[in-house]
Amino acid sequence: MSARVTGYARITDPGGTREHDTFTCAHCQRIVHVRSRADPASCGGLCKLCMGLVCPPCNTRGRCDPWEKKMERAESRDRLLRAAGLTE
Amino acid sequence: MGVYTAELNRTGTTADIGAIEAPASSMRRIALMKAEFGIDATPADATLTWQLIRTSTANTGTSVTPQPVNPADAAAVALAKDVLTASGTEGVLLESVPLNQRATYTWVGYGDGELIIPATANAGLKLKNGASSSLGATATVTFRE
Repeated sequence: MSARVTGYARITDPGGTREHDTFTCAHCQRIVHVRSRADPASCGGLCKLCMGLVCPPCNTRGRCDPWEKKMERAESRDRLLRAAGLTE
Repeated sequence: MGVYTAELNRTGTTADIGAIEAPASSMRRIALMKAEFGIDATPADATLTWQLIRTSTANTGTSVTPQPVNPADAAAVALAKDVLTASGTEGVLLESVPLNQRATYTWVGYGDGELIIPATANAGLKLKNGASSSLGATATVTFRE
């Protein structure tokens, strides 16, 4: 898991500073905090199709729909609507 | 490709701190690399919930000019807004962290961890304190496009 973390979170309060590794879900981009010694199953899972780490809800869904593909669909739809003059 | 920062302040009447979003035309993908949240009011004990939420329509608020980290870069295409008076349509909740008011929260994403806003009209990311609509709050975002 640690080799795939793609971010970190830092909380600074009067009690000190705490840091957690985070990863961004490959399917929905939700930020997941990885606590030290946490059960990997509680952090989500690894999608065996896109080989990306996914958050618990996307892991439960059990379907591979990477964020990049979702963006491509949204951008394609936006271009189509624009070409048809159906946007503001 | 330039890197930009913008400071967003919540002094309005909603819980929203601010947003970065694609313009209605000539948009491009925007990658949020870093977000820092804090309360700039008198220190006290209160519960806050820092949130990052996708929006699909334009937010209404005061325009903030994103500053390029490299002064040689052109002005950002992305729009930054704070003192939001009307929120865009909220979508997926990407981050929600409950904290004490005395705490400051920083999130940094790198590589595949950056939050990407698609190049579609008015798509954006909104920063919000989901627990209070009265406390002053400030957030600094760093993004590239």
